[in-house]
Amino acid sequence: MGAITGRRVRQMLAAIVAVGTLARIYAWKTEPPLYADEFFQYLEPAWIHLSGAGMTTWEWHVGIRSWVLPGYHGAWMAILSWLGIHHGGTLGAIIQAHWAAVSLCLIAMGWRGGSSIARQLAPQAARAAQAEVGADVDSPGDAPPGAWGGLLGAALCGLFPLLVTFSVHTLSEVPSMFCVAWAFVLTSELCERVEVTAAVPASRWRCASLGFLIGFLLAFAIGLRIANAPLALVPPLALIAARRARWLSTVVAGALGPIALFGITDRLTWGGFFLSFVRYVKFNFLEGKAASFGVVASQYYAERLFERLPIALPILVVVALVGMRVTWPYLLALFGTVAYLSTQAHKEERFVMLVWPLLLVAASGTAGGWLAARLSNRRGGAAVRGQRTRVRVWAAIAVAGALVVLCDSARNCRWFDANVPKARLDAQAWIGRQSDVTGVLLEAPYWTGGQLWFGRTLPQTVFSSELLSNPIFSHVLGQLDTDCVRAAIEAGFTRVFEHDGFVVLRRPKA
Amino acid sequence: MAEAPVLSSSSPIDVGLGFGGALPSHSRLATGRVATRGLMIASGVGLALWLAGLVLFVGRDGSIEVVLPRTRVPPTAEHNVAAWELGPTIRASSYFNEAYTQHHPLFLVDGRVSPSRHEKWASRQEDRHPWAEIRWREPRVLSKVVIEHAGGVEDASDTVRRYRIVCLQESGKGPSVVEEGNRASRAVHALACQQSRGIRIELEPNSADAIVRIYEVEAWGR
Repeated sequence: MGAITGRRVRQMLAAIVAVGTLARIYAWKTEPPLYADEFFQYLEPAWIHLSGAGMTTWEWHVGIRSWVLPGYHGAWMAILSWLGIHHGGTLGAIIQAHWAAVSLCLIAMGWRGGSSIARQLAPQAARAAQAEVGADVDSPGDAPPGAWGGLLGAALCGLFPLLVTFSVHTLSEVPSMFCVAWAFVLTSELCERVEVTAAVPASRWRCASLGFLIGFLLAFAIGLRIANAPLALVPPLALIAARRARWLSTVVAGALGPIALFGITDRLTWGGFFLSFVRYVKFNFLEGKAASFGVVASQYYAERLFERLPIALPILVVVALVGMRVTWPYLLALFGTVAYLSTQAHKEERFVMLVWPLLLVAASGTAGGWLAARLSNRRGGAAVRGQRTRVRVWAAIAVAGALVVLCDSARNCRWFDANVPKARLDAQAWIGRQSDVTGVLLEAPYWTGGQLWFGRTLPQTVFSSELLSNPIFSHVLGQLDTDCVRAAIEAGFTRVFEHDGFVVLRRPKA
Repeated sequence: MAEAPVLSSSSPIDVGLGFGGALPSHSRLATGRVATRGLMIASGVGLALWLAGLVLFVGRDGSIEVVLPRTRVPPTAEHNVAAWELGPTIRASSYFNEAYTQHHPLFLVDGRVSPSRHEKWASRQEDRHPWAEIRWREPRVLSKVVIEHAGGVEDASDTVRRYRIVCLQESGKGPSVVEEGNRASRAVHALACQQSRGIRIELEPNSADAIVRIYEVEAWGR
């Protein structure tokens, strides 16, 4: 490639990791909770199993959810409790930080995906770069082929503000998105591998391993979020189209582990193999009961995506379309997901969040391939000085393009179709820290952080005037100027904490 | 089926989920090796911790324990030693905990004379061997246990028929009372027990899909 050195690539990746880490720390500290589900579906069940106290939602009463993700969270909670961290709110915040840290894998995913697409779109540039570097692609001197696409992919996927803020939420969509994105990137890599001959057993093993990993990730993604199941058709299709069908058996083999995990977990917890999946499909897709949680117009997802990236979205789509020869699996997954989820009555933006890394990787790889091809074509006979200038100009253009995407997202990433007021959770955690608390009445229990955020096993239940006279309820939490707060004040409760529109009242001491 | 050649065998791909091609996999760079080794050690420690946590998590039975602060000095005369103001510890096998209907075990000792239907302890439907324990702070001489059953507020058929009350002592389980056919909504059970530290009530749901409901438990002694 000659355009940028390997050392420079590593420096830039390190810088992206550093900025990505800081961005995630900021998001972790400031991002408000969005969906009640991020507490009640994936944290609260684990907390109930550990502490015995909590609120069980209807999904867990009828057994429509798998225990795998709450069990994963629960194991962390259990070991952290054993290590001395007992407060539920702190445990919840650590789990959020954990997912933010895991989301740094999007940087590696963006690098690998962008590089792979760029190499396939500009194979001559890639070969030229390799010829120059020789067999040692780890040379500190020259950048590996596809580096332009890789760097753009790493920067966009790792720093995209919407993905950064979304990554701190303990929703099944987050890990499922990581698994899907990685599976597509590894599929791209498997499609470009060629040295599969009996004479090179090591490479055969590496291809088989890639196939195995693709199957594992796809199955895990679907296990975590069954609505993503149609996406699993695309990587096998891409492998067949790239004449890599022989590796489908390894994909299937890789899928067996997660399939067994989710099936056996359901057998142990709900009493039947894949019982929660059967119930989920029946409820949402066969009986259409998800519509009872709200119906919105079919163009909802398209509108949301445009609102998130009003300037850069058309550019990204056009760029990704230019590289369609290679990026078609990403585009098929992207448009397919939006199209098929748009047919469902109930829609929430988080359901389509995974289209963003797919789009960003596809556009980055295409742009990177185009850049590499241009720089490679013009190298012959050019003076070194002219080459350096060209590289700087194109690098500046690439950085500017990435900045447009990132800034456009940053301007429009702080709004969601659901929001849980953070002040209510702060007030709830404050009550949990009081030594004299014996019970809490909540104005809106479902819009809190659950019993986990309260952090105590004491009763915490919905406000009612009859419970106000029960002496074990020492505190009331409500929004300012609501009936609940007025009734508590009339009953003699006094304000002890106020924060951003929410108030905590305490029963007068006898 | 023939393979379509695209790149040569040295394309910078690795099999794991790292920065294949960008970061040296078999590099001469010591920093790369140190970083890789550090990541592997951290991952190993994390996995070991998580597995230990999983064992702890799976081993929990989902029972609840609540320790109340003491807000009143106990009288010297005979009194309800289980009263919530005296700071007892309440344990229960489970409780009915839907988002808007929480029948917490603390309702067992809240001292309400005319409770609403909400103010009771109810077990979860999956809990086929429900139990509740009330432990007090100092050893007491117990004389009787009074249980306010569901029949006093709800349908008489909701009153639990079969249960056992066990006195808990420092040395373990003490004297007990077995009830096989209770019909009273307010059941008074004589239970003489020296050096008692608490009581445990083990209940049998009235039918295969029934839950148990108790509004109040009083333990009288001095």
